[in-house]
Amino acid sequence: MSRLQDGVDRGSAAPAGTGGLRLPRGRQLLAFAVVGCFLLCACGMTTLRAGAWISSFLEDRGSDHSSGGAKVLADWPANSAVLTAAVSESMAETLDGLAGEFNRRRERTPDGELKRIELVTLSPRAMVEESLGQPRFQAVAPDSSLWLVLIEQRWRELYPPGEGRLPESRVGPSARFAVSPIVVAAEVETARLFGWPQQTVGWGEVLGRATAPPTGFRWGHPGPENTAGVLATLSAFYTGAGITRGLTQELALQPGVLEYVRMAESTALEIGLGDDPTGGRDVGVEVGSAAEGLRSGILDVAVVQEQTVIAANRSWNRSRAGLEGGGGDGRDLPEGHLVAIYPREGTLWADHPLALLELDGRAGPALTQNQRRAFRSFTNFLLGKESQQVLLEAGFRPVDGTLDLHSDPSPFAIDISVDPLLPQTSLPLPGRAVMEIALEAWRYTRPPANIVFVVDTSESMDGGKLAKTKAALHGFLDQIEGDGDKIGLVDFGTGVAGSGGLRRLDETGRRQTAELIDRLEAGGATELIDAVWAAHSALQDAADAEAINAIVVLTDGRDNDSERSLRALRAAMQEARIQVAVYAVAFGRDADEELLQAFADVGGGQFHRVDETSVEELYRLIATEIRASE
Amino acid sequence: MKRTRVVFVSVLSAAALLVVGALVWRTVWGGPAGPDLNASRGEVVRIQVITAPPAAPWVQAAAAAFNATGEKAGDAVIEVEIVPMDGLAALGKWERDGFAALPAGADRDALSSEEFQATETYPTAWIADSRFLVDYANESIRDRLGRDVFLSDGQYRVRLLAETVLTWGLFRDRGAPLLENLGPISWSTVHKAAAAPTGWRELGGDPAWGHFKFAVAGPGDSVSGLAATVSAAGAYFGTNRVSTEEVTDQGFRRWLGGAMEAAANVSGDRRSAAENVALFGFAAGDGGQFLESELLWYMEGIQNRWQEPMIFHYPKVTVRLEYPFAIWAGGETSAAEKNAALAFQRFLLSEAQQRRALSFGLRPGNPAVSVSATEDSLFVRWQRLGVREETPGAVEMKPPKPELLTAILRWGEVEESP
Repeated sequence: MSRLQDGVDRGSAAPAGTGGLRLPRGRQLLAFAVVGCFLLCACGMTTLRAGAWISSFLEDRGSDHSSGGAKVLADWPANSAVLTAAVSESMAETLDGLAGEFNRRRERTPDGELKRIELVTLSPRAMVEESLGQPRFQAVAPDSSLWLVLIEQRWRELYPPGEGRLPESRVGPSARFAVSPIVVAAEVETARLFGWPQQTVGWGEVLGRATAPPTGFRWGHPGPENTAGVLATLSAFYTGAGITRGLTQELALQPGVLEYVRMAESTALEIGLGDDPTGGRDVGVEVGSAAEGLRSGILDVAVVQEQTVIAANRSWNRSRAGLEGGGGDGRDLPEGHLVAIYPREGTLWADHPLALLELDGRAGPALTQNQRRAFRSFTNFLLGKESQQVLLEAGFRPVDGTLDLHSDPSPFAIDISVDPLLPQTSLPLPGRAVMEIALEAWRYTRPPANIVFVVDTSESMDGGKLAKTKAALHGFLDQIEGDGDKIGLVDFGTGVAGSGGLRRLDETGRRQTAELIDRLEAGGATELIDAVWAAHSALQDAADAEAINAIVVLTDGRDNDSERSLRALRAAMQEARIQVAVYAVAFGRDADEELLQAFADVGGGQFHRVDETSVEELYRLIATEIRASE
Repeated sequence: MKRTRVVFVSVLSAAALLVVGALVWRTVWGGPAGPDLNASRGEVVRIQVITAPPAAPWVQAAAAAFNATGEKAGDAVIEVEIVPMDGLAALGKWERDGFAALPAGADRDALSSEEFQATETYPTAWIADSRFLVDYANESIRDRLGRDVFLSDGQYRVRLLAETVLTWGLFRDRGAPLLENLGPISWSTVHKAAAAPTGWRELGGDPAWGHFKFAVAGPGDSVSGLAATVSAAGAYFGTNRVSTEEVTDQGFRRWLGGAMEAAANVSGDRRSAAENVALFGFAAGDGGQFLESELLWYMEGIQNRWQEPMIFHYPKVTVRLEYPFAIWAGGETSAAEKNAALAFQRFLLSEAQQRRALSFGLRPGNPAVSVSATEDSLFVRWQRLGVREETPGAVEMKPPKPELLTAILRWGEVEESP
């Protein structure tokens, strides 16, 4: 009652003519509640939207891009529209930019999921291997379709097709978004020595110099993880066999052909991505550093994609503005300019496919419908005019044939050292059996190897690290084919305990070595330098100068108990009759990387962290890179 | 005052609950429009149409135009999504139940929500490269499920959309010496050119061209590759119906192997000969056997990039592909989805879209629309390169029987390279 009276009173107290409305207290409360509720909801929703906007803004800075060693979980929700694609190094930078642009478009699937592309950089060969299990990606963009064929063939070996007419495929839909022929790149002066541009130049001339008596000629090509590397090796097989097509397994394995390939490869430096070309020992030297290798005279020629030549010349011209050449016959090209030689006998093409993997859920989550949609959208985006223009500007030949390569501003029109009308011949991809030989050519052409493992079995290796080491050692043994190699094992956890010297890897030697590995136990100090000394002594005692001699050190720690010093070891290695390379592999963050790097430097080997290289890769490195330094 | 506080706190709590609720909802459903919301709205009926790659550019453009019309099936707006897939890959999926059909006798209305969701992306229609693929898929599924799923009559029957044929193509400057020395292009000519030990030197061309290179799709890689093998067998045996015994004949295999010595493989992808020539030019083939529609479609790119066109030469033995539109009649798709597919089929068969097919190099399925019916018809644009309105006198190969298809594919696997 009082409240009502109160309300009435206040209402009557309102000045006449103001038009003001005095509500009863109950209604005031109601109005207050409604307004308050509205304001709070508005604030809440604004906060949510702002949060979502900030989150999406942060997400859309570009594509998430990680390199081969980075961990990407091989797991995703059933409605995921995030497509992770493995991309080869030669396309990684350009595709990363395009993926970022695609992600900024914020396309959604019909059920509201944001389509998103993430990239991980891997060598094509690593893509093949990972694609056969449960990969951390759902799509692959190797530098050539030949790797997709390999995935398919190996998949069918793993899972032989059943009764059906058409076997199940691991590789799903695919589309090529750019192409680039494999060429022989040379500095303009070197190219002229071959008769360029008046004469056509072939693999025969290039490899003729590589296999001639010592002339100091050096050629470079990427490892067999990349298309250019495969082609370089194939070209040696073709040239060695004296043919330009019809290369069969029988021809490829003829001793004369294998000897020719061995000679050619003995003058080859492995180039690729991200390393110093002066060493020529790396698994992957950067495109740009291949150019540096050519310009500095370390390499005479290099087998690369045509795009590499365009990109290298562009950056060279930028750094030397105004020095661009103009003569159509190459006479006016400035010093340091690279030219693309399209081998007369033919070449292969990097055709940059993007392919979806048909992950069927047998070893992990299956491919989602939304990932399929993201793949289709991204493919359409890559084939669109704008993306194709970006690829052209980067020096690739776009797949959109309506884009003009022959007039400005096409880089093909600006850079006269490339010719968009070439190549006109092809060096055909041989059959499966020959391809496998080319991919594993180093196995056929290398000398035997004597390898001593120095295994850290100190207390800190107990548990997972030692188990991992044992697995790596068994894997390494599996990698070695035939019985031409010898293996030794030095365990230094509880003092340097020799394991019986070098064993030939025949059936008995393999069994004994495997047993030694299984018996390794952790405990004790880290006598790292003494152990390497012992390994080095074992190799000197074997006195096999014709073989590859190497020490592989696997450790997680620092030397804390050696009698000998690094200086003494270094002196001993430098004075030794038998050259020994040291490959050091570090487990964990505590490893004395400085010391391990010093080992590698002394022996002309390499230092790796454990997640940087696979067992197979390490073995190939040892077999091929020591040879290159012969 | 106390009551005011209670109300104030209540309002705050209610608002906080609302915000937390919204957050939880967003987290659980992952976005503002979860799948249930779409389903309950019933505004869109979305269908997936598996489409043969040679027809895909036309069908994709048509789907975009169709979606823009806002046509409805019942109350729902139709949205067509095109999934390009080669006919052999699609046939394999149908045969292996790769799209996950419902078990025989399953009732759509009795499905769990998970099973129901799985059917939402089931293909509603298939535009195969050729009718025989649809028939074989249907036979295979009928054996498994005991029912026809691609029908030959009734409302949802298979209808042919457009056609194309196999044709030869030669780069202009290289065709001239070849034709002069070896006569009209045929499988026999290709065989002779491939066998020339010094290549173009003895074929009358520039020795710098190297060996004669032949662009052709791999037999197991695509339907056009399969068609090329069938046409080669037809030419070798002088018949339009090849048997399994003939295709497995050692003499034929040796002969075809000789011709295939010249088949260029520069990257590992041999699905489309025309695309390869457009991308790799002379390195992929001085000439080849192509789908007419693909060669027309890529001709602008070939001419732009390689500064030289390809000339059409029609073979005496050819294969016709007719791109049928087959609607899945099984319970995996709803009546609304089937009707949506029917509406899209009608749209593709409309005169406007049939005329539009000419811009993509396809011969219209509607006989009333001639190949020169529009100004932007590729048949008109490239008439000077030898494209013909009709293909008179050509023997058309009969579709391969299932066992012949199997024999060719198995052979393709053995011969597969790299």
